[in-house]
Amino acid sequence: MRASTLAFLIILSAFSIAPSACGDDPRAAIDRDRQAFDAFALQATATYQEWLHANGMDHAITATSVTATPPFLLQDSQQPFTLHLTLNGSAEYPQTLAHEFWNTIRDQLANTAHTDIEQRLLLRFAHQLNISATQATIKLTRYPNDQCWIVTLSVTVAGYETHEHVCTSASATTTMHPEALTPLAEQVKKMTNPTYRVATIAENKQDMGICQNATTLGADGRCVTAATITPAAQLAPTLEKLAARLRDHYKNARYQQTSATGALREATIDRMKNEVLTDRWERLQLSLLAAPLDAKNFQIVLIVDGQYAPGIGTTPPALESYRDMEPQYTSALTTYTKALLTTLTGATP
Amino acid sequence: MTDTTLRTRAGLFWVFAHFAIITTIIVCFFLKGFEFDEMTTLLAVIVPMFAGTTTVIVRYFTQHAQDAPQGAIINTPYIVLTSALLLLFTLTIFATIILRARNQAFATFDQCKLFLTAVEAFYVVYTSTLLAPLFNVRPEDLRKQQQQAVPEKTEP
Repeated sequence: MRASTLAFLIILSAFSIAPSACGDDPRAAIDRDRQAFDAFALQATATYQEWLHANGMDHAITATSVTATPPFLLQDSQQPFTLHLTLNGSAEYPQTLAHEFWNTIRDQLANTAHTDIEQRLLLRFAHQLNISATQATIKLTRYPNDQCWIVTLSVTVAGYETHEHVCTSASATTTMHPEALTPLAEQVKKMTNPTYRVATIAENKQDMGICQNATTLGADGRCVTAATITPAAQLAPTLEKLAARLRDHYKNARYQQTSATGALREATIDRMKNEVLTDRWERLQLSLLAAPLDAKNFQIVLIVDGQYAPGIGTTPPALESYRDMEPQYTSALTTYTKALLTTLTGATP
Repeated sequence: MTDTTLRTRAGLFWVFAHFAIITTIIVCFFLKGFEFDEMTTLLAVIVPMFAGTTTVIVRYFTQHAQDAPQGAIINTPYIVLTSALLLLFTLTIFATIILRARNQAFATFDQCKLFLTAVEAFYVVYTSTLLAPLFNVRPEDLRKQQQQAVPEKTEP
């Protein structure tokens, strides 16, 4: 074949390919992006629901959807995501009763007066999507698209925040009638029994307060409430100190601090074995989060999520190879987290 | 080399390779190279690749257990092709298993599984064509037997 003929054929084929490559309908591209996001959101919602189930919380809360702003998956690493949760069995109750309902459920889930269940829910969502907690928001409602009772859980520069929006409509006053309280109490009782359910939840939790003094560590691995309080003036130095101790603890692994805002330190640790499990590659996501208790004091909470992957030798696995430690290794992760707490608090002056 | 010699060598090699690969997968599992569900998926993909041919080979050797070693001379290209392809196929499977167990070459287990499935489709044609005359079966029959042995691909 002559060179000119060959060149002609190449040019001809380039013209025949060009319209399909460059003349793509923008609307079709948007539809494709939307579909990709919808698939991602469905998967994320299902994964979160599985986690709720594994931790015995699905009897009280249901994950309904994941949304993002804008509703596409951006390359921007700062894209915010929102997880929408509904409170099971609360749809028929007015908003002020939903407030009581949630308080009861939250206290039952925490099994103590600690308020860290909310933070656990939020940080689990952030860890699952591999985003910073500052990009994650949880909206808890009675039913999807409920506009009259919304609890928003988020992290700002000031620390962990919870905001409750309640409509002040005429219907709100009816909720205070004693006859309305009776079915609610029954419903709450039904949902929070049997008691072993609550006990399981308490055993499975990986979150805890950071004690400033090891002697105040409770017998169950939790700090007594007073010991978790950090004065506002000492918050930044305490967070830095704890983050430094964590970095030192994982000096033989790859420690990546993923974010460091005023009240939040997040790190991902990987390329390590035999930390939580035996002979498996592990990846831990740790968050140190401060939540304001009052105008002067903060509570610092450490929350750990873990993933693992099999593998012989020294080559670490790809990120896609990792699978969640929960629910299969929940007890190992709990034991590990308690030991980490002891290490951190024991070293804190 | 006679066809009897090649048949004996190729047949024994195939049967031992079959069991060696199964052993390798199980050993890798105990060394934490695979999770349990990954091990069972690998066995479900790999064992049938060999099973059809192994059955034909074992049946032939059993039926001809009393035979005296005789045979016709066969040409070099056939010997080279048969030996090389069997060796290459077996080495590819071994390498795939070990590379995946060491987190090399494949980013995910799904990639490894897809690769094995592709390799299988490629090799089934050639192994059946080359091995069938040695064991007195038609290539189509051997291929059919291999394909029948392959179950529906399972999710890990």
